[in-house]
Amino acid sequence: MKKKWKILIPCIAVLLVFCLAVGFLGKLFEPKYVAEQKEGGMIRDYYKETGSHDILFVGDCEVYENFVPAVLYEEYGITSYIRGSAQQLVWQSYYLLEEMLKKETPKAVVFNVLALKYGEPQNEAYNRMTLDGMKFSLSKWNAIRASMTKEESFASYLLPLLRFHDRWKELTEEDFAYLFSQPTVSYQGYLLQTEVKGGVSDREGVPLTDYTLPASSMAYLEKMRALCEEKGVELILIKAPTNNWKYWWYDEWDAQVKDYAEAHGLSYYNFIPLCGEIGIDWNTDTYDKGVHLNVYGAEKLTSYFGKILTETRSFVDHREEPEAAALWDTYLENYYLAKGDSK
Amino acid sequence: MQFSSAIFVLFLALTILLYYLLPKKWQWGVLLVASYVFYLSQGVQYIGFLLYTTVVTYFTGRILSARAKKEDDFVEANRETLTKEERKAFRASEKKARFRILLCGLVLGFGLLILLKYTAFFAGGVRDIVTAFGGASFKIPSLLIPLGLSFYTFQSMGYLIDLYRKKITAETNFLKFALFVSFFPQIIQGPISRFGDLGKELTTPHTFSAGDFSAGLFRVAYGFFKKLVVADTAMIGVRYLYEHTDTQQGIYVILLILLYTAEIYGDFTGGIDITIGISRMLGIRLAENFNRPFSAQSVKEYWRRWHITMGTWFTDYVFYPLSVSGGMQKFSTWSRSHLGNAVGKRLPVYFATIVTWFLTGLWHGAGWNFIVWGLLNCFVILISQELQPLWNLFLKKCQKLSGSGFFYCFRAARTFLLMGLFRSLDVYKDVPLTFSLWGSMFTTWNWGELFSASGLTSFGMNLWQLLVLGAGILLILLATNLGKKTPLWDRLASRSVLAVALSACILTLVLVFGSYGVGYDAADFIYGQF
Amino acid sequence: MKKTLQIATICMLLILLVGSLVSCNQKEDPIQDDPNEAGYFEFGNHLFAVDGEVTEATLASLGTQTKEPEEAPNCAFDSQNILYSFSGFEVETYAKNGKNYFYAIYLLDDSIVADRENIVVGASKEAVIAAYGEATDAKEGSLTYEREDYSLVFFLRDGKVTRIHYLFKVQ
Repeated sequence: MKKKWKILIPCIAVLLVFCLAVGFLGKLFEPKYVAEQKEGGMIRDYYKETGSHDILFVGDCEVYENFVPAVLYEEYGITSYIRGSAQQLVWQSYYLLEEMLKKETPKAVVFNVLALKYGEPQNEAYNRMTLDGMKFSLSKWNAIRASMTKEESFASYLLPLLRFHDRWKELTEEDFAYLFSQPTVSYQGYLLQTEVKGGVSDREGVPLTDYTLPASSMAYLEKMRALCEEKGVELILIKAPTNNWKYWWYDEWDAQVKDYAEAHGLSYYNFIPLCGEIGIDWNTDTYDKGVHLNVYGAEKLTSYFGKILTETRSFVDHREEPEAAALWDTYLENYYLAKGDSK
Repeated sequence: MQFSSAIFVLFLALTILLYYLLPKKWQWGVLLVASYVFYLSQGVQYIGFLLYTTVVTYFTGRILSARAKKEDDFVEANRETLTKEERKAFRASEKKARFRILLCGLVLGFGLLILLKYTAFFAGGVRDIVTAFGGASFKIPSLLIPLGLSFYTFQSMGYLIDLYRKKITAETNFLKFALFVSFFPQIIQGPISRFGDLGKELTTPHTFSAGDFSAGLFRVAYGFFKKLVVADTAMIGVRYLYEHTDTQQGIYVILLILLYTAEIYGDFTGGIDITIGISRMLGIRLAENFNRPFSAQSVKEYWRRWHITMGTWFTDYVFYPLSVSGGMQKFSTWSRSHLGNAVGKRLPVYFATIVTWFLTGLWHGAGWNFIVWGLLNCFVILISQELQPLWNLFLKKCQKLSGSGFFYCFRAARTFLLMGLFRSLDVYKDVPLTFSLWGSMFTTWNWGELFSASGLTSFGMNLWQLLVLGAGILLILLATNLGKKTPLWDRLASRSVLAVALSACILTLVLVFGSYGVGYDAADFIYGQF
Repeated sequence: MKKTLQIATICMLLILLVGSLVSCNQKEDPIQDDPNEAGYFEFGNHLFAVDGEVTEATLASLGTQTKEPEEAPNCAFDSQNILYSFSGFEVETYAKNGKNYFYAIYLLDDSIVADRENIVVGASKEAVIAAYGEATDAKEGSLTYEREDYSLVFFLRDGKVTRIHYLFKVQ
């Protein structure tokens, strides 16, 4: 008996060290998304956020590039957070929302509808950017299962080493500096872009053979709606302004979303036809030829949206609450500091 | 479910756990269920073929065994009354009857293999002849080839032949026999086991032994290292080289030979290490398939060290019976009397050797490249056999040289390169193309190209991959050297903790430096295709 | 006599061996695959590899560009899709590992032949079906034909082809 333990205990110790090593190496090799491809760092930023929010934005780049929570607070006293990442698919937005609604109950959830066009898993790199930032939970588990492309393996999400082992030759200082903790890369989920790259063409989107929004993505929209209803949170649908032939929002899609919103009594704001009213100048307010707004465009849009929100709904003005104001004033300061710096 | 998948690791862990935790009499049942789960996971459509071979072999075996028992019983019962001649005559007639039963079994067993694996090849030949005479071409349907078909068919047919030779008695329990055919660690790529060795091993109860378990674990880890770090990294270069044969000639053919040797060595010996390692973790010993093949001094010796179970299968079940068959005896007598002793004596041996190698080539795949590969091996073996007296004379004359380490290395290197050269037929596949590429080694002098600044990255691999491959090969060389007398895993069997710790280290290396995951194409084990 | 026989036998053996080598000259499968299915597509008298890089030379071989290329940058990555305009058609590329590959080709008028079946913009729906057979996916306004590496889409209005799209299966 004694001899057995003499073998078993060291073996268990070896096994533990092995597991720790695999975990540690996974952490080391994982991309940190701090200096480059900050889009990959935004999902995890939420865990550092304190305080509650009136509005939660979910969606793809069309939320995190086009709305500035700091400005929404500055002008209207509304607190908000954006949980979005690059090409965030509807089911990813759903599971992220599910995760957030366990922690807080906002007044409204704002969902950008562009991702409804994707009915299937799309791209491994974007999947990783969204999913790797999530803390482990049932929501994450389900999000992974819904998002994996055929070539991906579930195990590689549980053990990042399986996915990123090849990065041993690309390690930089950043990988060591941010091994266990990474700084936030966004401003309450807003990714700052100060560059100007206009020159938008008059080209429209390429015709499609089928304009029906996929049933699978619409099903997740329905789940999202039901979840919000259950939690007593209003769901607002929006389509951010874009002006690029590739990222085209077709009238046929718009009509389907409109119908859905009407059928369920939801508000739906399509900002594309409102660009003139918002004051967006496609020569100066975009950083990538009309695909996304830059900070100047985003501030205009936020202002406009804030006006709609306050005119049609009532919000507590958090600027008059000392505790919230203290927190948000620092957020505001950080934001303007960064905006000024990048100028 | 591949060996190198997360799901297989889970499956294996669960199997081992159940194997040792459940009562001992259920152990073989656990293995049978696990084997069928494993095989089903490869594709449900394959299971019918496996069952067919199992059923056919089982019943043929039972009939063969019953007939042999009847024969023995009869002889025993009539020991007094039968004369020696009568007994002999009876035995002979019975042997003929048993041979007919065996033949039925072989036709049914090999028939499936031939039908599935070789129909397209032979039909292609027929089509070529038809079209050559102006007939209309036709499309050949591609048939499903079940995984591991060649391996389990050979193992099953070997069982029948052993029964016919009365070397074993038939397994009466169908399920136990089904396990012998389907045992999961070895079904995809061998080794080809004999019932006399494996049959009992599989069904007798095994007690957990820390030594065997940790030695097995070490061997599995080492196998993964060979496969994922060495073979799959070398594969990147091999793939690039054969996809660009229009430009990658001359020195690149030599490079391909070296890289492919690393790939096939890592892939096949690694796969076998995993197989034998897993079996050992279960307390089951399998036959060894390799014995430091690259130390071979001649092609003949190489084939005693590489893919041993296949070599002995062909020797025992093809070469030997063919050589001693009645027809061959007659042929031998005829050729001696008509062609003189020198040629007459050789002719039957030559014939049997050529047939054996032709079939060995064909076993690897239905393609001319494999047949040519088999015949080239045969050619070299026969030539060296002929030159043996001359060679012996040379060795005797230059004893100082022949005993030197240099000479040993020279002969090993020569065998290594020759086998590598032949093996490139595996990769290039097209025989004339391969021959012209071999020719380019002498006509295209582009050595400078490879050894220029950008040359090392001119064949699809980056410097990091070359570094990993080089270090991997060095580690294998070191391990092989350390295990020269007693293999490393056997040396570690008495030091379980060290074995487990080393396994963990190796697995960490595999996880970091292995060529797997996004950016690498998942590579099946090569021998699973044969 | 015996010697003659000996030599003859050796010769026979050699012939057998050489014969078996020579007979390997036959290709395994002489039936060639349809070029439409085998990683290539035909366009404007050129044969392109579906997964071939689109270089300046590729673009030049297609003719003169009528407009500046139009870009559509991707989120998060330093890459973009680019649309090149030619007389009567457009070519869209996507970026992978710093290189550009075919994403789609859009035929807008009848100045260029669709492919070897001679279907051009303006042809009738019947002509498309006669040339290509039953569509993989037939809709009121379009006929789609799935190929191994791309799909070929004919847009229809009033029974006539208005646009033809080559949509490549992007990996």
